[in-house]
Amino acid sequence: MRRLNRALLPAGGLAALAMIVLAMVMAPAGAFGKLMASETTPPGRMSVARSLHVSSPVSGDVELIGGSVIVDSAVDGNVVVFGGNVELRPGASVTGDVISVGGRITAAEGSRVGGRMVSPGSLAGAVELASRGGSTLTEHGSSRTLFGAAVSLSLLLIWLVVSVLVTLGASKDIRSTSSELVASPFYSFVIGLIALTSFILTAIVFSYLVPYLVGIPLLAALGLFALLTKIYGMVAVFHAVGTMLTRPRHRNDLGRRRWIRGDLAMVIVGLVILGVIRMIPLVGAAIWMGASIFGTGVALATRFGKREPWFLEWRSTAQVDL
Amino acid sequence: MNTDQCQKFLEDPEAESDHLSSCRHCAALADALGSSETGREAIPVIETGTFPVAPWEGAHHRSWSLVATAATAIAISAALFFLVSGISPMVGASRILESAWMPSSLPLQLARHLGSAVHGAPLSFHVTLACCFVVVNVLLAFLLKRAPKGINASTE
Repeated sequence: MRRLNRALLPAGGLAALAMIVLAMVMAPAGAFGKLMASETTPPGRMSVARSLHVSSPVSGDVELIGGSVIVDSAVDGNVVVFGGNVELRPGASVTGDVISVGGRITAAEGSRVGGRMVSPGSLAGAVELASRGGSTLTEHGSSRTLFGAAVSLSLLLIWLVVSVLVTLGASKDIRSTSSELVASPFYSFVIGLIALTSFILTAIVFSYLVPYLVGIPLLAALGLFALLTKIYGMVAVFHAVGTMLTRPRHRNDLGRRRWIRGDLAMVIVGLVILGVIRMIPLVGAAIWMGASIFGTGVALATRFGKREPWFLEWRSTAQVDL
Repeated sequence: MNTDQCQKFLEDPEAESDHLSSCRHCAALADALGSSETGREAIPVIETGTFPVAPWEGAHHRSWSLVATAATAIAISAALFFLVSGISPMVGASRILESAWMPSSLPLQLARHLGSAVHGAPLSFHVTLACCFVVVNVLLAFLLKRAPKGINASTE
C-alpha cells in the first residue's frame, strides 16, 4: 500500500500541475474579464484570454487568443480567433475572412461576410459550416443532429483509411506502443496532457518569430509533428482498445478465428468502437479527446514504438566502464 | 546379483527387461528411476492449444474482409444519415470537403495573425507565457526520461 501511494502521489501531483497549466493556457472566455459593449473600439482589436464584444465599427483586424468574439457591428478587416468561438449577430458585417481555430462560427441571418468562413480543427465547427445553406438543417435541430452524425461517420471513414495505412507501414511499432498504453495508462495520460500544453505554448512562443524568416517554418514543423503524433497515437489507442476487448485468449481461439485476428483487425475493431462512442452527444467528444491525449502521450513515451530514449544519459568519463 | 547380466541390463534396459524378474537389485533400481511401463504411462499429455497467445503470435494476419466490411458499413451509415437529414450523400460529402478545405494561404495568414496578436499582448502575458513554457517543457523532458514499461511486443 505504501509503495502504491509512493508511486501514485508524484504522478497525481504532476497530473494536477499539468491540469492547472492547461487551464491557465486554455482559460475559457471571460475568466480574465470581459470587454463590454460600451467600451470604445479603436482601429483594429487584439485580445488575449478574454472575450470581445464588437458593438461599434472597427477598422482593421480583430484577433483573439483564448477567447470568443461576438460581432454586432461592422468590421473592416478579418476576424481571427484561436481557441474560441465567433458569433455573428444580425447586422454584423465583416469585409474580410472569419476564422476560428479550434472553435465554431455561428452566423445569424442578416449577418454578412465578405471573405471566407473557415473553422479548422473542430468537428462542431465543420458541422456548423457544412450545414450552412441547407434550409431544412437550419430550421430543424433534429436534422442538424443527424447531419452531425453523418459528418462524424464521414470523418471516421477517413480515420479508417489513415489507420490502415499506418498499421501496414508500422505494425510492430503500433503493437509495441499499444502494449505500453495497456501497461501504464496513467503515465501515458499525464505525458499526453503535458505534451499538448507544451505544443500550444511552443506554438505561441514560435509565433513571436513570425516577423522574422525562421518563425513560419518553425510553426509549420511544430504543427506537422503534433499532427503526426496525434495520428500515430490514435492508431495505437485503436489497437489497444481492440486488443483489450477482442484479443484471442488462447491458441485454439486464435486458430478458430478468421477475421478478428492480427494487428489490422485489432485497429479496425478499436476504431469502430471509439467511432461509435464518439457519436454520443457531449460524452463522445470528451472520450475522443481523452483518447487523443492518451495517444499523444503513449506515442511520445515510447518514441513512436521504437522504445529508445529521447535524451542520452550524460555520464562522466570516470563513470564509464572500459 | 549377477554383474554381467546387470551390466547388460543397464546398457539396454528394454532389450534385457527379463533380467528384472531375476535380479531384485536391478528391479529396485528400475522402480526408483521410474522407468517401468507404469511410470511412462503416468506422464501427462500437454494440450498446447490452451496456452495463452503471445502478443506477436498471429499479429501479421491481415483480415481485409474485416476492413472492407467496416468501411462499407461506415460509408452506408453516413449516406443514410445524410439522406435522413434531407441532403443527398454527394452534396453532403462535397459540403464537408468545402468546409474542411484549407487553402494554402490560410496557415500563413493564421501564423501572421497569431504573431501580431502575441506582439500586442500585455507584459503580464509575456511573463506568464515564459514561466509556463519553461515549467511545462522541463516537466515533459523529465517525464520522457522514464523507460517504457510495456513488454516489447514487436519480438518475433
